[in-house]
Amino acid sequence: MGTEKVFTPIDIGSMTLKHRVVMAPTIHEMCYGGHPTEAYLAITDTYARSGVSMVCVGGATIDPGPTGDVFPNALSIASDECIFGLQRLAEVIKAQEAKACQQLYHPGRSAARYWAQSNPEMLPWGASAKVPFMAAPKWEFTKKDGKWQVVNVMPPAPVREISAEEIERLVQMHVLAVLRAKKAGFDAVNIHFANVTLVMDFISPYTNVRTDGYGGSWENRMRLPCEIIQATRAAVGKEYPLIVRIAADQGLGEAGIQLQDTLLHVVPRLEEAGVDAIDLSAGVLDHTPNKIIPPMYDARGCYLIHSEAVKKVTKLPVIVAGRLCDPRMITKAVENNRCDVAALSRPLMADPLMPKKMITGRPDDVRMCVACGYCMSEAGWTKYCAINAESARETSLPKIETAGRPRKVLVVGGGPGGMEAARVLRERGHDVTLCEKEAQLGGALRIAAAAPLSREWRTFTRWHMREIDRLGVNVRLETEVTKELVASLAPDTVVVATGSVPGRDVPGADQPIVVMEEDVLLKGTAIGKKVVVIGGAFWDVETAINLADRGKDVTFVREAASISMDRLSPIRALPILFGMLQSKHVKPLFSTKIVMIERNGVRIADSAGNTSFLEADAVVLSTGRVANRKLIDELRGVVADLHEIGDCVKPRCVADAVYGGRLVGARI
Amino acid sequence: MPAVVNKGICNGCLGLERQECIFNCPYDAIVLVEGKAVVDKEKCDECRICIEVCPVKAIVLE
Repeated sequence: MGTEKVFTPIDIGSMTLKHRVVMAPTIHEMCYGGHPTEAYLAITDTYARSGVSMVCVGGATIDPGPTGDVFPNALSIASDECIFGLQRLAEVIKAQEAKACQQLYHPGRSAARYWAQSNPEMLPWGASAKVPFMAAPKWEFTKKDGKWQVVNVMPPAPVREISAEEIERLVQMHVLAVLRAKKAGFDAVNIHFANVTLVMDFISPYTNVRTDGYGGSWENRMRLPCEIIQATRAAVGKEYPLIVRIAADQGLGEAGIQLQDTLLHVVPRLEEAGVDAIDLSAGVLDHTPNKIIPPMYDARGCYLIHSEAVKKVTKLPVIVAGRLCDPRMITKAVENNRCDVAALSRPLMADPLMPKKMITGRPDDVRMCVACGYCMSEAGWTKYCAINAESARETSLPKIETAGRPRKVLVVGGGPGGMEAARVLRERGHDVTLCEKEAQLGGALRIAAAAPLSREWRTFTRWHMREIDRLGVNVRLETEVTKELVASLAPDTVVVATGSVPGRDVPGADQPIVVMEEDVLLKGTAIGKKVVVIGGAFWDVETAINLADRGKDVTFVREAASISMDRLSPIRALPILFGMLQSKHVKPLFSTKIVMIERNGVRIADSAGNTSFLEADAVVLSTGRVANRKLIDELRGVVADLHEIGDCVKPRCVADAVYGGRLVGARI
Repeated sequence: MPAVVNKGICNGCLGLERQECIFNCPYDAIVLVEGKAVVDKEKCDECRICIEVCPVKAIVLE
């Protein structure tokens, strides 16, 4: 173990952590009826074996009723029947000599997500009825008063102000939940007062306009959290470690909790009430999800700025999360006293051996989380990971085991899918040759990594190249594989991962002013001043922003009223992208049909069918991708053991390519 | 696209106890040359922490 401060022990109340890298509390939708599934126990085991000093099991609801339900497949600690499953979780963690911590919370307004509002008894609890919950927002672009705006077309879900009696019940729910966690064997609890919780809504001036003793002044708004801590402390005893998670900044400007408020009003009162550590998060689930789970637009370690400030106003240990994917940054941040403990959530999904690699001095071997947001995709919060196919698939994916009979395998295409297949195949002892037609590896990720807003993807390609080199995969660049080359190499098995090519399905796409998005990004193809970007996905918006940054006069045209988010999720939500479009003065035209690209511009039609002409020096085209199936068609019937993965099967996202590579790699 | 310091804006954290970018860079990629911060492009990993901590907002990704 290194001698840096990050590897030294730290006390949280009566509990000693052996070092300062922990798992951050993370909600996993891997439960059934509030109880953990085998798959959840398995992923928890993975975290426990990662080398972290503490695993914090993510948010368990403390309310057994409909007002406590926010994620249908998440954990519950709301009744004594939950203790059995919680015991299994604590046991799995402690078996690896990590400390076990349980996070618990009341979801408040957020419980609106899955419950009908017809029955007023079932209305979610709020500090006040003032702010409804934006349940499952559906963003669309509309023109209002001559200006484009982004609006949520789903009706917000109403909430109701809870009564004084219900506040008493709420305090008791917290106390009982902490006692259950203790009984289940957890070494500590993390009481959640941030992001999705009712207690945060009491603290925040944005959601609390009560006129009783729980509203108004900071003292009144902090009354509930302090009462919860005091009552819990009285019930659980002086020794039991209580960690509290707060939103240092809600990202709502002056309307919400800001860092200054946290320093002046929140942290000192919590310290006085008797907590043992402050755990920092940020954001509100429905308004600023990108603050809770910062996207790759934000810097690595973007909340160290908060923890550094909080450390100056408290003697308590300060834990922080937020894009702490970079081992060197963590080491430096602890050394420089910017935080006491680094909490990892997504970085552990991307590389469940990251802490061990840090401890053994191998920071470059870490597969760094790129903050793409796939783990919170529409598929739910199951915690699948785009770059680590094994995450949340511990019980289903075949293990990487030495192959019974080593074979000669040819992998065609050095994108994320092909590289993943090559890595796994070589790891298992096969003789692997990887051919790539370009001079560099990376495939479609090279396009993504060339865009300033998604540069982080390059770290994944870099990791893959490092692994392929370490394992001894025979890499041939600038090698276009043909039927003849396959015949001369005579492999036992061929894995085709030839990816996709840009589609040109727009009238007039052959005009000389048309440039493919990937050429602009990869080759820096020169384009004139006036640019029209025709696209459909969020990365095309990023391209428009990028071009505006380069001084272009950009118009973004999209046929539909919204943007395809693929399966990347709330953290790249449309209001954020739209805000960026506006600040860079990109002109958006949604619900606008391309009639024809012409010699000097684009003829468009609005939703009413009125046509007009947009003059342009260049038209940047990104209208989907087409599977590159040339080789697979040639080899079918020629090569006996033939596999296809990634975009050449059907253009999809990087997660599908990596999963395909991992799966085929383990099966051959 | 490594980080780059705008020399017109950077004041070398004059009067402060330390240069925030140098203090925080995980890759030891920044040094002070004639009172201004300079990024070693080879060492920079584009983590952007220097952009976060710069008190005068003198750093951008190139």
